[in-house]
Amino acid sequence: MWSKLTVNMKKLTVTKDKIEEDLAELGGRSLIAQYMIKRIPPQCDPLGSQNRVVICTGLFAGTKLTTAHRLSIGSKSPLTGGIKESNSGGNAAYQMANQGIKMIEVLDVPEESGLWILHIGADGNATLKDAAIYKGVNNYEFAEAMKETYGDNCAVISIGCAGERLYKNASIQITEFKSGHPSRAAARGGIAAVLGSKGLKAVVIEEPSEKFKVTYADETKFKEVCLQLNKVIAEGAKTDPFSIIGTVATTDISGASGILPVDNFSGKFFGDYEKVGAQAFLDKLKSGGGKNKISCQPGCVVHCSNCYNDPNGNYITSGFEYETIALFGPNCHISDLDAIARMDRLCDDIGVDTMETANSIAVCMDAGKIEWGDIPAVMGLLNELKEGTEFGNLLGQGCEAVGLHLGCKRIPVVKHQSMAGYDPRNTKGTGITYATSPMGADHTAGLTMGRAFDDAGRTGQAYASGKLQVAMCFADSMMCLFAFAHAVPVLPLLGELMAALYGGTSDFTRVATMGVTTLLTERGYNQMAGMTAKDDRLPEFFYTDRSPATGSVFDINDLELEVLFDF
Amino acid sequence: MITNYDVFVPALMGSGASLRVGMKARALGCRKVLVVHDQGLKDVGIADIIIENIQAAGIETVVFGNVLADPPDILVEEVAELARNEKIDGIVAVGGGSSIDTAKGVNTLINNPPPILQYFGYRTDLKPGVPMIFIPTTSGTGSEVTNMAVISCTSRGNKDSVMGPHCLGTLALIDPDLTLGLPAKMTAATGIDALAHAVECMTGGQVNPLSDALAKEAIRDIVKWLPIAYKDGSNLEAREKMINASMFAGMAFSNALVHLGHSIGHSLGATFHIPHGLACALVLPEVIEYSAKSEWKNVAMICECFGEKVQEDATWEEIGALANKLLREFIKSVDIPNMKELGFDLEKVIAIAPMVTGDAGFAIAPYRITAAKVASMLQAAFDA
Repeated sequence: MWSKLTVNMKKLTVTKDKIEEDLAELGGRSLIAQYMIKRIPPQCDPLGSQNRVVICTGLFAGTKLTTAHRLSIGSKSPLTGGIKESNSGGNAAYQMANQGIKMIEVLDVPEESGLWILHIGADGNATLKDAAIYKGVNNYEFAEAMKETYGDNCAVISIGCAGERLYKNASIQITEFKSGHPSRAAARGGIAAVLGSKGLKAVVIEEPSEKFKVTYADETKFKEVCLQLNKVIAEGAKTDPFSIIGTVATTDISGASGILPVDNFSGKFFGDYEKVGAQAFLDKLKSGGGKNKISCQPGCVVHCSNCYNDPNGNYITSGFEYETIALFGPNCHISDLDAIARMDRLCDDIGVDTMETANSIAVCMDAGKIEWGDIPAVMGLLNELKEGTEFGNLLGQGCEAVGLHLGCKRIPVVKHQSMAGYDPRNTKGTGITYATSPMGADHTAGLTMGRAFDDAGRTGQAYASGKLQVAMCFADSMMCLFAFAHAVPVLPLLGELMAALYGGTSDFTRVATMGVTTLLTERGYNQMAGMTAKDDRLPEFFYTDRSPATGSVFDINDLELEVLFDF
Repeated sequence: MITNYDVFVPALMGSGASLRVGMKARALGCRKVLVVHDQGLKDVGIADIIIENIQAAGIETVVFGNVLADPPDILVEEVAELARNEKIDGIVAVGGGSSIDTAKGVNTLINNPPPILQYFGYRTDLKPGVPMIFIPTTSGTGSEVTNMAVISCTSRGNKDSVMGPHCLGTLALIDPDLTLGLPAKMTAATGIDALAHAVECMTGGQVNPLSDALAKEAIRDIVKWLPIAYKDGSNLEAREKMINASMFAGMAFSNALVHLGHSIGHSLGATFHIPHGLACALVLPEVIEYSAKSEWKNVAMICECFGEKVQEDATWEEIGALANKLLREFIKSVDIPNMKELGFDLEKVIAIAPMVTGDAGFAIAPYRITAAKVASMLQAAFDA
């Protein structure tokens, strides 16, 4: 039986119980939705005592299903004011599963300010340890210190100075499998600030001396179906650019089609997109002795991660992704991969979402605070964020706060969260996802690029977005969506896998229903938190300002958005 | 809005045009063509005329004369194997939508391994096939000028489509003479299919000015000439107008695509085994009424093509109701029965609603509609 840890930050206690029945057959995003709607008041102050943080594993944690060890973190978001599930790779969910822990709930706030670490030892004992000495210590230094204390295999979930300062763009960083670099992030929505408000600096999980054993309804059947799925996914990965190159491969497609955001979502074409494209990236890896095809969690066959060095072979960053490259790159009129890698490193270190931060910087450029493409100026602003200067604190409040403060006309946010690396005029289905996802402008909620008839056309876009948003809800409950993409031709196997593990029907409807239920629960939560149909729209400029690259505007009518979730 | 104007297939139009098939195939460089038709065309003598014409041009023929309605994937795969073994270098399809769609399916598999179900959907990455000449013998399908083929999937029990360059004819020969012998019932059902193409592609998510222009002209001609062709099959002028309207509607929906009415049609066809044109007509008025909520301007235009003036201050509900009435009256005027008259069971009809929402065409509907609402449309149309 899986257990849950309850960490009460007011009482400074940790208790271990069996997982509640209503959550036992859920995982990841689906678990967080059901947890939150019942246990976190939608109208609560995100940084107050009533908000909670839930850290959980996916439906197939502890099994051999490839990428079964995504880590989901949920809370009421200080950035969006709504429900938030942010998930990440890394080794933390794997070690949680080894410990037999399905979920950690963090309750309340301390009576007096302080900083603590939740430590889960090799013997399975979980305790809160005083972490005052780590105040202001950022993620790379912190992860290194934990490794020294608890060994190379320990998993670290931590916040940097940004989370401690309650920045709304603060990310939770998770150590990567093998390297132990804190370069995997539950980045979006500022949940790190909620941990900051609770004084929880980190969760450190040691490898247990005895590994937890999963109980199966039908272990033989599970192994058979799991093997079949893993084979299909591994076969698909063989020709997957994410697998062969990395997510940076997206640049070549998005750059050529005007989907790549340029100069603060101006909709322009970026002539130099190949400088931040797949070949340039591979050349840089070669010359700096970096590496791609790295698995961020044990047993992943997609291995989209990487290790990026400077030209002298010194490590800069890892888990260097398309979104970061697009938004710190062309969206800030920058095409220098080494410089973008340094920005990524700084963000990971202090613990901020690279997307929210890069969009804030682009807004600064658009408003004339710094020049387009000025790399030293960008590093200067990032250092202000790190140092916590007055403007640095403003940057920490997210793109919308910065844009409003500077009077910027284009502020690319939905539900107060800024957009990922896709211009919604030129991938309209993704724009529909941005508009309607309960998560805010989130590409992982349903990226339709390449899936509708014409990315910049209207046909089939709402349909594609709607389908994907449901699919992402169940994918985010069980595995990494890059592996999920290859499982699509054999989706019914997921129903069989559920039945073999949990018992009950093997009908795929079970999986699809979980997706729909999750999405509707999240929307219900947001409605109770005060969101209305107005929150399901893109900023006006996408409807009125043409993308000069394609001549396209976001011309999806309100009716299509309003009926998207009629099931 | 930025849109594509797709004019896919060159066509040769006019009484007697089919007699150029041999010459045209020769000009395309063909030496050995697969001729695809159904038994009915053999019986009325059309198939032999076409085959002899091809052979007279010095081209060898391999004949497949057993096309089935709603071509099943396994049959398509069988014919494709024949085509590969015979090393044909061209395909001539003569007949209705089933013959032409069979040819398209075969062409998909000429240089791509079976099964065909792996190629469902719009694909641009497949290996090209061989030149194809299409000769329609009904005025309805429009398939001769579209880039898609509807195939019955035997393993899944539904209909799906292959779409893309591999489904494009090299030439269409539009010869009204070949439709003169079409029985009245078939004339009505295929004519209503063409009407369904035209009105649906004016109300989907991908309308453009070209599709609108073609569709409006098609509707006007169908409204005027279908009742005449239905009553007097030998009226060549009516036949010519109808085959032209059918092609226009086909060109229109190549640009704008069809949506919910066809999703319902495919599901009814798969469940009750009725001809495609009839299946698409059964709930068409209700579908266009539903579309009016977002596409009221074009629905008003459809009413005007029926010769009905729409008040400037009409609400979308009024426009939708008017379109429903006009379409229903017209469908009845050519004696197309409703579902009750066809002897369907109401419960079984309503039960297809979830299947409708799983159909490929559902993606093109102007706005999302639930299975429950589809069910209420089916109920409303049942004895309308």
